[in-house]
Parts: sequence; C-alpha cells; structure tokens
Amino acid sequence: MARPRRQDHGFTLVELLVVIAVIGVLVALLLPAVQAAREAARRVSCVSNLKQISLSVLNFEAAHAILPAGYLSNSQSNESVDPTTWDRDPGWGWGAQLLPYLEEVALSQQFDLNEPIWSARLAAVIRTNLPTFLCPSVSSDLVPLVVVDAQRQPLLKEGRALELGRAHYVASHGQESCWGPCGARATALIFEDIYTSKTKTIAVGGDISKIADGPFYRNSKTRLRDVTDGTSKTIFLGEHSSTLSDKTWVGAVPGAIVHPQIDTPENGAEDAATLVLVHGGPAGGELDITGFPIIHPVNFPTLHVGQMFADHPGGGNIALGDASVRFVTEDIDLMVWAALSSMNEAEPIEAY
Amino acid sequence: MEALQSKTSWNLCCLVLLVSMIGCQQRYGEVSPTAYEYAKALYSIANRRDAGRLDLVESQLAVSIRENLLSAQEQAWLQQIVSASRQGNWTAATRDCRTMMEEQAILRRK
Repeated sequence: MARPRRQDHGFTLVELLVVIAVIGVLVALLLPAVQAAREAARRVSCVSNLKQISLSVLNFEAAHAILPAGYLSNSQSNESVDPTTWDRDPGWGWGAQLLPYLEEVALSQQFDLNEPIWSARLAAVIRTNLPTFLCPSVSSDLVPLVVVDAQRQPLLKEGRALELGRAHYVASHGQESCWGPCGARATALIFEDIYTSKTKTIAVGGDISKIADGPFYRNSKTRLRDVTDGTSKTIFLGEHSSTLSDKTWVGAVPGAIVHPQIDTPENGAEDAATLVLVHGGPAGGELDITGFPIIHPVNFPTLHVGQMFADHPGGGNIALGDASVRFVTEDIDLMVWAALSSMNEAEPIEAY
Repeated sequence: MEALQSKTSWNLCCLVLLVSMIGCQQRYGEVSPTAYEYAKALYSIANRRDAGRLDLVESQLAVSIRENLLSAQEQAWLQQIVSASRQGNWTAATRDCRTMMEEQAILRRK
C-alpha cells in the first residue's frame, strides 16, 4: 500500500510578504483613528482642567471682589528688584493664588503670599506638579522646570537653582503686552485703535495697568465690572504647551528668562512674566510689512513664548470670563481674536 | 504565476514607499526673512479676506523682487499665494502661508 504523499501546507515567502503588507496597510489606516480617539479623550480632560481653573477664578473673585493678580510684585525692598523689568518679590502667580479654590488648601497653607517664592524652605512646595494645571494632550516631559537666565543657565536665587511645578495653562494679559524692559520704562507705545493701526505713546513708570487691556498682569486688581466687553466675550485663560516653552503655576521669578523650545525666524527668549502670562496681540508697534497689526491667536506659527499654544490639532482651548471653555480654531478671524483678548474696548464680536 | 505575485508585491512595496516619501516631503524649503515677512502679511490678508491690502502687498513684492531680496523660488511661492487670494481661494491661501511659516520652525528644529 502506497503511503499518501505528504502535502505542503506552508506559505510561500511572497504570500507571507503580501499578508504582512496587508496588515501594515490596515494598521496604517486604523492608527490615525485610534490616535484621534485617544486625543479626543485627552482633550476632554484638558478642557475639564481649564473649566475647573476658570471656576476657581470666579470663586476667588467672589471671595475677594477682584481677580487674582497676574503675579505679585509688591515688595518695598529694592534688594530683589530686577533692574530690567522692575519685577520684585514675592512673585506668586495667579495659579498659586487660586490654590485654595482648587481643593489645594493643604499646599496653599504651606506658604505665605508675602514670602518670596524662592525662599529656601519652599523648595519642595514650588516644585510640585499639580494635575489640574497639566493638560494630558501635552506630550513633553513633566519634570519640574528649572528656572534659567538669558544663557539658559540655572538662575540662582540665594545661591540655589529653582525648580517650579509646570502648568499648561496661562492667563491673558490682553492684546497689549508689557513685560521685560517695558515693565521698567517711563513711557510705552500702545495701540490707540488697532483698526486704523493708530498708536500713541503714554507714560507708564512701571504701572502696567496703563497698558494692559486684559484681566491679568503684574499686580493686576481687575474687578469683573472692569470687563466691560462682557465676561462671555473676554479671554481669561488659555493653553500653552511646554512643547513650546516652560510655564508654571507658581509665579514669575525676577531675572528669569523663558526660552522657546522651537525656534522660528522671529521668536526668541522673553522675560519672567511669560512664565505665567501671554497676550493675544497686537502690542503697540507690532506691525507687519503692510502696516497691519500683528495678532497671534493660539498656535500662530511665529511661536512666541508669550502667545497661546496647544498640542491639539487645529487649535486650542480658551476659558472666557464667564468660565465657559471653548475650542478655538488656529485660523480664527484675527480681529475676533484681538477683540476677545481685550476686556474693555467695546469691539463687536462676530460668531467664531 | 509565482513570478507575477512576486512582481506585484514588489510594486506594492515601491508604491507604499513612494507615497510615504511624498507624504513626508516639505512643500516649501527654507525661506529668507523677507519671504517670511511676506508670508506673515499674506496670512493676515487671507485670514481677513482683505482684497484691498492685496494691491499694497503686490506692489511691495514687486519692489522686493527688483531689489533681489527674494529668490526666484520664493517669488513663485508668494505669487502663487497672491493669485489664490485674487481668485478668492482665501482658505487655500491661508493654509499655504501657515505651511510656509510652520515649515521654518520644522527646519530649525532639525
């Protein structure tokens, strides 16, 4: 009896390659959908954090009748003054002032807002990363940021380098910005009317309230009644991913410099205030080659460290003064963005 | 038959490789600071659908070209954006300006 011939059931190399190629194509087709679903979940969490923070701003206002200051710089001592910016101690930012309203009472009780943020005993406090201030869509690392100087070397305060807990959310200084040398100048150029690109020079003498047209700036004491454009039409908070530059909930350290992680032909390092604040533009004198004011909405490709920047595809989240949170496309009408950035310029705002 | 299958898989591999290479390719190369300034101005014009300012930017572009401030390639890219704007393709013009500006950041990152 003849033995049955053994049949060969194996795959040929070509068949195997085709199967692998088909699997590869399927994975390539599915991967973006899976990633989009994951990003959608992260974005929901990111929105939720921004909502919590913006509600805490209103709770702070209910308790104090003013909004938290952009950052505090109220020492009478000249010892800690930064000669370039006139920033001084204590430096605590809007985020630190909000802690009691974010269920972070225990942390907030560990420091006094009159104490400089670089006090030796606060080293562990200020390097705390708080989940509420972190947007899950940000892929860059979450180790506390090291405060640096113009040469990217650690800035020493009382002989020590400082590490600060990160934040992926920032407060709005308005259209105009006044940090860096502007904070110490006698006069400044501001826009009188952005629609006609008309500017004027005003006396400042370190009082940034004369320039800022948004709710948060150095020593701001904004009341809700100052937001005459309407709280639902004024940006209070927004996103700034550490993919572009370091931000913190702690505050502004005099002498600190914030460097961009991504270089563009036009961005560069900015001063300590941009650790906690951004502006939407235009600031006085910022005109393009056609004389049009430069406005930089979220993700504007100039990538200034003092602008909003989110890791979400297509735009970023903003919190308005009424604590509503909206996703804004990066190609939003520039004038609508400018109008949303200022709090008291009575511009009509189209649908966006 | 086996030879045909093998040839088909090779073609498929080549096609996948080609498509991915095209997908990764940048549309614009590194541009000069002048071209970057024009991209920024054209972005705001396209964003605002501001046909009035197109005339101004076009006359400035002509001066920059005369003064050799823009390479031939940059001129072509910018004029393409101006043409798209003139034809009312504001969205395409906005996207192209943004791409040109964004790619400068990508190039500096490499």
